Amino acid sequence: MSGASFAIVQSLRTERGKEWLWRLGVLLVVIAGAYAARDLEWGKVAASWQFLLKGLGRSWLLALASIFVGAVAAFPLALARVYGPTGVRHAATALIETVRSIPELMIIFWVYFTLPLVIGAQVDSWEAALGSLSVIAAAYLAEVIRAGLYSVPRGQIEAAETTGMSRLHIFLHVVLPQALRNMVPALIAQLVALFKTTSLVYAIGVMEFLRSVTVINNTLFAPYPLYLILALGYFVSCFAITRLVRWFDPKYQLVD
Amino acid sequence: MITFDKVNKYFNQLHVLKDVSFHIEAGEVVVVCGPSGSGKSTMLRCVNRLEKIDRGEIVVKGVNLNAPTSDIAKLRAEIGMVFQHFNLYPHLRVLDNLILAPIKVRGVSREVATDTAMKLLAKVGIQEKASAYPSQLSGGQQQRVAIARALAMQPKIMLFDEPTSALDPEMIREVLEVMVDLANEGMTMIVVTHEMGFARRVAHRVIFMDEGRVIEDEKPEVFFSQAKDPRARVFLSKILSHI
Repeated sequence: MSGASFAIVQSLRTERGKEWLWRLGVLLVVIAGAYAARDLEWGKVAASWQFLLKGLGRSWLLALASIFVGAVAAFPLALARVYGPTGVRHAATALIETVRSIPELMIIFWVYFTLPLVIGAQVDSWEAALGSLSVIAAAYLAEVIRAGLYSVPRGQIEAAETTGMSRLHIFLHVVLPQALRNMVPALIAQLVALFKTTSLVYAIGVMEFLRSVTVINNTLFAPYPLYLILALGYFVSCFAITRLVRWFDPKYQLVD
Repeated sequence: MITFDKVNKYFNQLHVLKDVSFHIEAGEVVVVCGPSGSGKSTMLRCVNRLEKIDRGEIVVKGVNLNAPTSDIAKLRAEIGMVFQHFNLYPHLRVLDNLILAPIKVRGVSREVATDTAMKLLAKVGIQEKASAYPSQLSGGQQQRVAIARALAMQPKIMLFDEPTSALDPEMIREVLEVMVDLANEGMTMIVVTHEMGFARRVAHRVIFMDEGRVIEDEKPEVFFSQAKDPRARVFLSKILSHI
């Protein structure tokens, strides 16, 4: 009897055992949470599930589109800031720092309210949301890329230089692969932050997840279940982003 | 093959190389030693222009390193360099570390480059590690890969910047043996090191530097037994017996 329980305790000390113990713990917390939330007015909000799901879908679309556009713009920005000649470097730095030091909501308002006056054309809320979030993504991702480029030790570049490789080849085959690997943790943090930033375009009337929940709540008044759904929606999304990026993370070890 | 003529270099206010002059013939093995901060590594890094000089002239294989028209990349391809901290590419397997530059710089096909690389790995005694990543190797193995990587470009000159200083004592020998073989094959080598046994065995000359100057430039047997300058004698007494 005591021998068997000892064996169980021993098996829980292994890595696999700890992993399962952790999963069990998470499961218990989820069950306890579900039990605690069982009496909320779920029946009242159940009919709105499609509307809420559409809202979450729009949040994802905003995040993916702005991250894509942002990343495409972030690369030249980061390269300009790291490798550019003085003038270009200062311009890129000014752009990045300006966007980063202004509250995101301010940028969203500028694109929505001020840009139409400048360009003399109507900007609808969806376009303004996409535009402003892309600008934000570009500035923040540029910094992630820059940090990644700087993380590659000088000795790596020197080793490549001494073999006579061109600057382009050194960048493509020595610096970039290591920089991409090193920027993964910062990239995850930034993408999660950007996903949550999409909730700000709620303020200019885009029916993304936060606004969908708010609108439903205004008609049904069931804040407890609705805001629980809101939190869960963002949590699951951000967790998925984290897992997705890690999945792309190559599995080699860095020396030193 | 390598000529330094009154070379001077500054790091801001610090005068790190003072009128350094010497000439090295093809096939010569030259060991450079001296106290830390004497400028020996900086001098070595000037040979392939990892460091630029402020005054004087360096001519390597007939190419003036200061001339703006000189093709430095082309010259660098002919000069192999081995670093104290190996500087292997951690994201590439050993074989890919070796074939990257031959393919990108020389335009060699992958098959030919791989063939050459495997022969070089055999030569340094680690062909079985061809598909390992650098982090899976010991320090001595990494340094031997680094030597093979430099040799893969089939250089005419090899520069060694304290190649054994970051190694555990039991791994120093395996690296030195590869270097001895290379010296015996007639490679032109400049080796910054404190391994005086290596200097005795294969060096044609020993250059002793202190405070940015070349103090001694002698055959090893002369340098070890009758160094003229007291600084060289103090240095020798310090490194030949640690206790």
